[in-house]
Amino acid sequence: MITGRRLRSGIHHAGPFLVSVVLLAIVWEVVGRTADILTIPPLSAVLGAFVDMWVRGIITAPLLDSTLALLTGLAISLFVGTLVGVGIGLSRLVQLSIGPFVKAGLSAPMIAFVPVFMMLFGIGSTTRIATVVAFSVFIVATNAATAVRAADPRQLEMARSFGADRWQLFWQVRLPAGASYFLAGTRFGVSRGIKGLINGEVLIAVIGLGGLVKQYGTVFSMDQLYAVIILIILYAAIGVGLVTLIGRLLLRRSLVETN
Amino acid sequence: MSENSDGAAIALSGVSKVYETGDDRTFRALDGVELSIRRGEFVSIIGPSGCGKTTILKIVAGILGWDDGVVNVLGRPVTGPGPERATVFQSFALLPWLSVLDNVAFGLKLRGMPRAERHRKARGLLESVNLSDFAASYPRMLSGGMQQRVGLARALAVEPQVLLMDEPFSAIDAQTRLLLQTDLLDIWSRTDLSVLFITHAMDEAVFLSDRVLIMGARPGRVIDEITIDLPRPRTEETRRDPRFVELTGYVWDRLRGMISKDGGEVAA
Repeated sequence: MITGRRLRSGIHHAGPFLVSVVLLAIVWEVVGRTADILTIPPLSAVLGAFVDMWVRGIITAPLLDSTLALLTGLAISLFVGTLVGVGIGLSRLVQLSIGPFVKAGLSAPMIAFVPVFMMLFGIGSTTRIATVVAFSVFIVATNAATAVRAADPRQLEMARSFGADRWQLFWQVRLPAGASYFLAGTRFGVSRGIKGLINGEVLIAVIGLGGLVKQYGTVFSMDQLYAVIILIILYAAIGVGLVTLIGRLLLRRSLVETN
Repeated sequence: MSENSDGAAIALSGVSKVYETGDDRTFRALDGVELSIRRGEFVSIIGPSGCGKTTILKIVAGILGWDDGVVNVLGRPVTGPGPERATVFQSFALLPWLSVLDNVAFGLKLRGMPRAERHRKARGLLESVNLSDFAASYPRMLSGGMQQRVGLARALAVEPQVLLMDEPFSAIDAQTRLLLQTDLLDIWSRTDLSVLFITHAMDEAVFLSDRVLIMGARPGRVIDEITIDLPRPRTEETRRDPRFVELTGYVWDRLRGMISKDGGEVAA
């Protein structure tokens, strides 16, 4: 019942967006046809290139390859980031000793580390996995730290009065109380991880979707370049959307209750 | 008092509590508190804001340490929370991500009772607080009065011998509060629970209790004790009993004297 209502209101909200997408597509097509400049091919040509590349498997293989690297990097980020974040959230010593690194890592331009990763790990998949981790691990840790601190002290006191030990406090109160922050951390982690993935691949230049961007950009194959860029934008949107959806399903009960 | 403390449900002797307030200063919240509650007795503590009445409750609950003195529950020294005690909180302290049923069963879950068994028991308690229809609801769908019924059911679920209630009805509207008071007495009369009830409402203390302890502030200590000789069971009629009015008036006189002396203010 609630899902149905949400779905319908979602379609309502999608209306204006669909209109603006269609308008953008029309403007792009018209400008592309009339201006006749190399850097702005008409949308139809871009879509044609997309279909052509998809059918010939030029996109699908890098897409799969990139996805595998992304998932590997995200798995590392979620594991390490959550561990570090929970440590920071629960222990003052850990917060004082490691917290500043996480804060710095959160705002530092991680792309500067890609050349270092290349020297450390070579021109291969390990380097982009490292880039994914570098981009995403700090936001995951930051949110995990917030998550374990999110519990209402009065709820913790209540649990202690009923005899909860530290372990039960963590699993029965802190974890569910912070669930929405963990979810937010995962969502930001995925969107930053995708940024890291493409950043790393463009610099590495020979692998994945980012590699395609670099290749087509270098030789001015604008149709293909735009096709890949559109794919990357869709890829990121779908990736983040998927995580949001999974999170909603996991948190359904408490979401129903808070909305 | 300490001589008879073996038989007492709750016995505090010479209990002091000092808080560090930062910048090397301390605040003496409790100073030599003496109190004893017999088994099956209903005792309220009333006093001005900041007199340390909630501090006493938290110490007895085992979730707050103290600096000096002896605290016994059922003849055994308090070293932490225990299965013979359960607390009802002013803020209800329900867990918003759990259903009403799971909130009632929360204490049982912490004690490792299997799911089916604790749910069965929780259903029985929901019935006793007239919330059977709301087992599958979530706390925020309920009114304050209903939420505190859940809080009460959660405390009763662990089958305590000592019930600690920390201003449980102070966040609830006046009409509902009166109903909850009679419901609480009704439930209590069917058990042999010893109750320590913290409140700042004088009529509430008199209506519910066998004895009312009046606390003074800075430092917090018990300064007076009033035996409430109103007959039980107490009903809405009790509230119109001249003796009820007289006793409430006496409590107010004692509190008022203290407040005007301190220049402090009393929370309604």
